[in-house]
Amino acid sequence: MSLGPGTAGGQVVFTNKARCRDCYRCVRYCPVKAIRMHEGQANVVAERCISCGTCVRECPQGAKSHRADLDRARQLFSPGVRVAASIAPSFAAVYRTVLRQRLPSALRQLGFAYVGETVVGAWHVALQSAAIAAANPQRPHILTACPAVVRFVERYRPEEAPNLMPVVSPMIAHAKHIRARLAGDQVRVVFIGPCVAKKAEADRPEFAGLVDCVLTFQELDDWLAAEKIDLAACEESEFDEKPTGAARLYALEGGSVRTAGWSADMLDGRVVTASGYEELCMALDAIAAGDGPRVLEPLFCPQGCVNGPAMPIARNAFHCRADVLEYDACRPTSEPGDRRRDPGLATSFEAAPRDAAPAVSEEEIRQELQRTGKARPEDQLNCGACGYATCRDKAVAVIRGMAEAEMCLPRMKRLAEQRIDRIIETSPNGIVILDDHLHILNMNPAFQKFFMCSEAVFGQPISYLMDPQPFERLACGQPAKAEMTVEHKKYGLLCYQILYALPEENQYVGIFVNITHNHDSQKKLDHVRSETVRQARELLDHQIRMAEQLAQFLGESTARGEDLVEKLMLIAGADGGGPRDVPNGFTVQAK
Amino acid sequence: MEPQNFLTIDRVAIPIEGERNLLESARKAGIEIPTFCYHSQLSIYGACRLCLVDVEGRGIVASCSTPPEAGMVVRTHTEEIRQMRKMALELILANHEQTCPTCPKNATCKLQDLTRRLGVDRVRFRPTHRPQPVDSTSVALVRNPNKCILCGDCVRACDEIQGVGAIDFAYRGARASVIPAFGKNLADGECVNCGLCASVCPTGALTPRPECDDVWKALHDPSKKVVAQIAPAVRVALGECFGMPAGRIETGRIVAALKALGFAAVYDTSFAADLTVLEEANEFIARKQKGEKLPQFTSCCPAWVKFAEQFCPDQLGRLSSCRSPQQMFGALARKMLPERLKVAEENLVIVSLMPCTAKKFEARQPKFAAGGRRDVDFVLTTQELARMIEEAGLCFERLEPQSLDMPLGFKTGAGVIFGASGGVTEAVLRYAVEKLQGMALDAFEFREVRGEAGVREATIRAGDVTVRLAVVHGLRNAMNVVEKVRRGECDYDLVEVMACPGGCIGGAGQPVTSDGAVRLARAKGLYDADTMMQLHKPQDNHVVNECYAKYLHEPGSRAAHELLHTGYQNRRRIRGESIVVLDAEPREKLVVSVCVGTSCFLRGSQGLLKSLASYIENEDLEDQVEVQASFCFEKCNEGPTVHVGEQTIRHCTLEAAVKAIEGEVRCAAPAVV
Repeated sequence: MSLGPGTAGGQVVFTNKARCRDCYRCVRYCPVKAIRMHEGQANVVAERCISCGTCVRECPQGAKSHRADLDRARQLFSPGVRVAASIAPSFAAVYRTVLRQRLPSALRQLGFAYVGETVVGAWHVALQSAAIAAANPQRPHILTACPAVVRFVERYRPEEAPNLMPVVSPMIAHAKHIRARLAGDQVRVVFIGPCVAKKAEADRPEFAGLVDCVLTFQELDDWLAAEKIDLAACEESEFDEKPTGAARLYALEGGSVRTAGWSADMLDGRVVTASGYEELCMALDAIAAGDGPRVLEPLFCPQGCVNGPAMPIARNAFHCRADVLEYDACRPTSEPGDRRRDPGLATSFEAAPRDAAPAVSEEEIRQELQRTGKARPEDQLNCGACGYATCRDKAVAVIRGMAEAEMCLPRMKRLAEQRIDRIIETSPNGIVILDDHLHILNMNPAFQKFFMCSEAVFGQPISYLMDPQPFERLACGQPAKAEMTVEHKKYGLLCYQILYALPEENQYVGIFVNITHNHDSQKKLDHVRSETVRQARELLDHQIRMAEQLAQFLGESTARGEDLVEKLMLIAGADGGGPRDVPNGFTVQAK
Repeated sequence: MEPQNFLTIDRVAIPIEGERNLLESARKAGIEIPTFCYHSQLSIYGACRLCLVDVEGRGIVASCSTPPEAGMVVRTHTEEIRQMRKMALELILANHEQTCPTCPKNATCKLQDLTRRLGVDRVRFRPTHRPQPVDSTSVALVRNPNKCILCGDCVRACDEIQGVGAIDFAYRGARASVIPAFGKNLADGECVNCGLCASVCPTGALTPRPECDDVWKALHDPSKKVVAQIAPAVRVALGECFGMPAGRIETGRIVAALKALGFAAVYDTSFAADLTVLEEANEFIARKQKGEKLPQFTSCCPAWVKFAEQFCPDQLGRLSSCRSPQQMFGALARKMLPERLKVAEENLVIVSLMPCTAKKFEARQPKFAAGGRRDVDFVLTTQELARMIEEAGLCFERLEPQSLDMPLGFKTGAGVIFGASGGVTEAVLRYAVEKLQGMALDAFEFREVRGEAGVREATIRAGDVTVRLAVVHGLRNAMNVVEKVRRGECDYDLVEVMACPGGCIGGAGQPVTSDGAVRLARAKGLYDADTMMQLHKPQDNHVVNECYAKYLHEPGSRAAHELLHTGYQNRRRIRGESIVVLDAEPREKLVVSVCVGTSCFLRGSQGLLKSLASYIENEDLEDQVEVQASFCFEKCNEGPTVHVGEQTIRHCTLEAAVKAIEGEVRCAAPAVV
């Protein structure tokens, strides 16, 4: 799998299969439903993914990860090459107070030849955006630095793509700025931020050769730890450049609007900010309806980049927001210099709908719903447990191969309960469950039959039916499980019984295997067996005796026969006395 | 494995790889043989008799003075050695003032450590120690003879590394002691305050003079505002006092600690170092362009400055007239800070945190006290700062780092590397090369001047100008360079001199270590700090540039000279003009000078002078020979010394002088005879 920059659609978010525990949380939170469930495993479908990183943030198992680019970053450093670092403005919420001014020092210690804030590029972006909006007042403008929003609009709201401001993001603008400033072809740019989608943005073919590597703050922390660089033990220093104007606020909802010099009044209907998927959709709907704001500043993460999925620390987004505001207030910015628009910042965005899955017919949906027992509207719970908002959505996903029938938890629970109930109901063994006071909570029909009781004994102590001692020992905590064979004479019952505790429920289970019948037949079998042995022994004795008698007869007749032959040979061989050969190879010695 | 390259120490085979003695071989094998008098950078002395080892076939020898030989079988501990070592320690302790808890070396004392290690739990000998007065005349060092164990480390360090010889053994036997010449006080002798003696002293006999109490008093005085400046070398060494690795940059925690102690503001001496570079580099460029007063010697190291004033007064004109960064900071802070911090001038207390004991002397020079008020009130060494942090109960490693105060806390990397030998030169080059070439450079590092060697040379080309450099540490090395300069054997343009091994990072105020790796780690810490800075060239320091705009106009200006430059004094022990004893007509005459300094006087120079004068009168040579009584020629051990014209006669007698005069007179005017 090629992960090199510039490979369009190169996957940025992955699933770690070993960790996925089919909770469907990623499916539920994925705004574009780009997660395919297959045999209980979640997989990110690159064609549908907008790399927003939501699933990375949401997965409780940590089974979602973004592409690791640290090795790629390290490989950029070689003799004669100058590597620049572009630091996203949310850094102020990660490296707080005393560590902020030590971050540039630490980066230089890693070997970066230039260390700058990405927002150096943001001011030019905002300026150009403002000019474009002013020149085209008749139509709405979507002003965003967020690559997830851009990808979302391109793929899922293609009709709004023409309204995207045709200006590059601050990251790309800063990369161009760095390359102009450092000059020469031996320049590499590494962007470091809280964002997963930036990794995909840097890979877009139109930006090839601008940003060589995108790291998250977590990857930076790992790098510093590997190099044993402690921020606290660094000298303080400044970034190589100061940004202009309010550009440091770009990481916040409302930051772009402020930098561009528009009103930041939250109640001004012409300029609206939206952060988070729901607000984004509503705002896009309003624009589509033709009565939306003139300028929309959307960011995909709620409260903006400070709440990005790759922020290394779990902090309240509003605290992070306060950090960035505080940093902006206490650090000087440079005076607005060249106000001319930078033509190098223009770009274009095109509708690129990828949701070209085959249409699904109503009949298919009906069949799928029926197959899962949801034919009737009242059976469609729309509980969302599968990750899809409605049973109907889920049915469509199943038909398209994105989901599996087994993902419906209420249905699976019902099936499982039915199965377990049937097993217990039909078990030939008696099963009883006692509470912590050893009172009967439940039992199955076999138990009732064995101990000749009815449901009237519910709530009664077990001693009502049998000697409670084995259960009492269990309740004392030792052992946790006991197996024994007990004769319940009162019921004419011989049981092999297994007793065990359910520590979490504080209950005790008894399983009684009826071996009374086994016991009787065993006795009969033993009798037959001993009888057979006796007869076999008789037979053997008889045979031995017979063999002895046979041997006796045989010996005697042999001796007699030999005697007879001797006499015959004496008579026949009167003319010679030596031994001679006889046929069949026997040598007969004359006596 | 060739057996001839191995010896056996405590049943372990150890390869011989150029170790100078058995002690080093044992150290390589991980066996620390106890010793007081062995220091790898000093000559081998063999005085303390603790490093005894048993060599098969030879018996017991001192390991420090026995070279390793192939096949040797060495045992570092036998019952006999153990008893002998214990005995030696007991004898030392019997003659030692055992006031350990109040000794400045308490807990870092080698005598204490070895007593514990060797299990000496009582002293069987009668105490023979007789109290002697403590010499606290020096502003830099305290000499407490009661603590001296006569190991001679200080004597050899002062002589062998610094070439000063301010202290030596005197008297014999039980009265033997280490004292300055003629039993004078340390302050009155030739001591340059470098403190190397204190950093090699195993006990509390020589220690930096503490000023903690003065600083505490100022901090506790509500009317005072106390500010600090941190020297570069302090930040990479203080952590060692708190169990952190050498070379870790602790600026942030030092600031936090100082603020917790009550300092109103904490600034960086590196800022002043940037300023020093601009002044010194401009001075250098001017001299280079005129081709005069070269080589320019640096003047940042106060031990070197005093050394030069004492031993090479003829070179003082070549010394840069720049004050050291500490004093530049003090002068500028006195001017800028009262207004900025809204404090009355008399209530501003300026404290420096230095790796150095000589800075204590420098700060007390009358020339650095405009209007009677010292520019730098107090100088704390790294060790003293650690002690104050401990006294305040601060848990150093848990302090949250803080930021240096602006504007005087802003520096470039050039100001930071000042603390390592070669740093001043490199910083000057970062400015001077650009200036000489007339264009800005991308690269800022001049790695050719970095390194460990005591004397390093480099040649840098800047455009059509060639700059020849020498970087020296250790004052004996410096003296050798001065001698070469005097003899015209070198054509250096710039010579950096630092007294301490490795530069300021190896200063006597730093946590004591005999481990060379620690010094290397500290130097690496400073060069790392340079890498980390946004700016690396002093000319890019905008705060320095603002200071010029506001107060100093430009480097080398009159205002800059007033605040940032200084002059030097000849410190030959007895100063004054020669006195003419016999005079005659003003013609070209042969000058005969007889030293009447103390040492020569004791050797009979006064009588010699009288006899010579009557000889000249009797021989009627007054018109050809002028006899003068002169002061010290610095050849005291070979006195009486007489100069006859260009000729120096040591151990001079009347006969020798007459012979020389006759020779000279005959040469000059053969017709007279």
